Amino acid sequence: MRLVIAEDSLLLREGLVRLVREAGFEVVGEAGDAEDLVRKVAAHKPDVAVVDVRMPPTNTDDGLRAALEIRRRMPDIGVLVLSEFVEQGYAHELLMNNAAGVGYLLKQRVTELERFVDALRRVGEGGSVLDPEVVTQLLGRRSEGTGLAELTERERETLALMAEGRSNRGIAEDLVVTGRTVETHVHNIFGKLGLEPEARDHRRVNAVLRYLTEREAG
Amino acid sequence: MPEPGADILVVGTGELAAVAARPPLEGAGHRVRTVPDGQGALEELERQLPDVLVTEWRMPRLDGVELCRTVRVRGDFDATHVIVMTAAEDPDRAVTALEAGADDYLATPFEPAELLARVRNGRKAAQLRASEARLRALMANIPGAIYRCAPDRDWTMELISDEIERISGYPPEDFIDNAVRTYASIIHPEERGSVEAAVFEACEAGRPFVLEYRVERADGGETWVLERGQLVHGTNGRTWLDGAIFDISARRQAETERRQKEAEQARVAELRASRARIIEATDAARRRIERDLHDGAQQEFVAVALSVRFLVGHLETTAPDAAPLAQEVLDEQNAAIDSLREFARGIHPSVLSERGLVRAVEAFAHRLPMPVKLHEAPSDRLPQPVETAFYYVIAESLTNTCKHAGASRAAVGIGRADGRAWAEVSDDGEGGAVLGEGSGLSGLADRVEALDGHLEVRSDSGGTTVRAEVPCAS
Repeated sequence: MRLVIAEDSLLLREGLVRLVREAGFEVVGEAGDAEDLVRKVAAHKPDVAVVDVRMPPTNTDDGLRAALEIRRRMPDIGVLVLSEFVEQGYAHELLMNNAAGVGYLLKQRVTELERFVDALRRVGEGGSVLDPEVVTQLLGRRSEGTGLAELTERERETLALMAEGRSNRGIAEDLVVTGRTVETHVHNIFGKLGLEPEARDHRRVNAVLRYLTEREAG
Repeated sequence: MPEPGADILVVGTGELAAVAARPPLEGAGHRVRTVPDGQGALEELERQLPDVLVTEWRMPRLDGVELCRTVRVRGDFDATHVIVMTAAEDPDRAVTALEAGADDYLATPFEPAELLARVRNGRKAAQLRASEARLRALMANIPGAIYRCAPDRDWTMELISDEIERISGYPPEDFIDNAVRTYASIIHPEERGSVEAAVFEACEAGRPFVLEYRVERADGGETWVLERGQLVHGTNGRTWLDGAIFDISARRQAETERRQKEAEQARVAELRASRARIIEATDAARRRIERDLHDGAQQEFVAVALSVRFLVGHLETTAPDAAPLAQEVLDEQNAAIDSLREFARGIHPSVLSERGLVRAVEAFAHRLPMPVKLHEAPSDRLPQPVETAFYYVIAESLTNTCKHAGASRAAVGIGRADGRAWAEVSDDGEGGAVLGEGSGLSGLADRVEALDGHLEVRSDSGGTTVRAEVPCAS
């Protein structure tokens, strides 16, 4: 899998490059700012662009804007956005319209090697990745009077992993249950929340995100 | 230069009037009216006052002396000269006539030339008297002290009207010929020199002067006066300063009060501006610290964590016993990164600068263990100082709600209308919030007031509502 890595801190960029190379990825381009990133992605057509949110030129959300531009211009290229902090609002901007091939993670997740590599693969294959921290923000509220209140503890855990973009198989491994059990949980969750069942993982993320966000507005 | 004829009323029926007086007067070009006696004279006077009244002593109805007494009490008779014709052999009559108010007497028999001379002089005297009376009336009625003084350093007064007593507390007689004190002596010592210089300079240049200065009153107080005057040349080669002095204390007082008020307003505005600057500077510093933490410490921590991760991988193959220890270090490092992230967010939420108030409030609300409904959010960004102030108002109020209010839900509204922007946080808690010294709310009030707005807190058993409103041009 071919990657372009955009990170303005040289130290971190070198660490990241070394990390993904050791994990078997090919780094075809490195960028130190948002414009450099868009240019290199357009030139190399990687499978995934790994993007730091805060980068030059303005050192605010340039990376995020570049990621959105890549999504718009080159929808086939996966984008994994890394940030020192994650906000549900930014997740919304990145994933709401089309979560296929998009990931949004806290930067420090790179030290959890297996999860990070898994996230890269999933994004490269058109899946979705959402940081557990964002999911916690979305779920960590009182839920009286909503479908969430009717979920069992296990179903809640399953919902959180779905929102993170995990597949049924991944959820089964995480919860140490059979794939069939997960399927049952998922079925029940969609029923209780009144959502149309979605086969594709990234569409599931969209559905769950939309449900959780609209719960806020309601 | 021949004088125009005078208007003369001759009173009497006797030989004196008809023969001795009338013909020469008419001969000299005067207009002569005649009436037979005093009563007739009074009726004629109602029609028009003459310049000169010449009357006989003895008359049937109202004699000459009675006529004099009657007309002299009239206020408008100063301009008429009264001559009584009396018999020369009785000097007492002359005295009686003068005491009764006659201006002059003429002993019979008299030469026509003498009569004409006395009429001429009398008329002049009466005119002078009349103009003096007019001047005095003017002086009494003008709201200022009218004066005529010598252009000397004492301002030696020839005349000064009564108003000076109201201004200075000293009667006008004090100043006439410097009888008791000089006018210069009551000018405030600090201004005496400059007044003198200004007056002399104006006199030299031949132009009028207008001065404002203080006068020291008899009671020890001060009166602000405005003086207008100019140098005039008298008939006998003398020069005078003629002018008027007005009391302008009330105006000065009002001006002083206005200046004080303006100064006070300026001070308050400056205070508010400086408070706004302090808050602005603090906010800028917080943004900078957050950015420094993000671009510096946080990045470095993650880089270190990554290195430790490599170390863990290395140890797993070379020294498996040591690997768990390194993993522990990595976990602690990640926990430190979490703490640092929360710390930076508390200093300044970057989503506020990057995406605005509404998104920042949404992000804040997401972290609360309580549902927060956001209604009426403006679609446009508000000015940065307003957004920052509102963010802290909303965040602090929601934090209070979670900590103290025992509320089950809260609502946030943000809006903009009619040149004002507002933010409101309400909950269904038990109330008890006060906007007092030392409370977090008073810090919020400072922020809002620095933007010329105000913070309102309503708190009772039905819940608490905190509302901030600031001017905000659309």
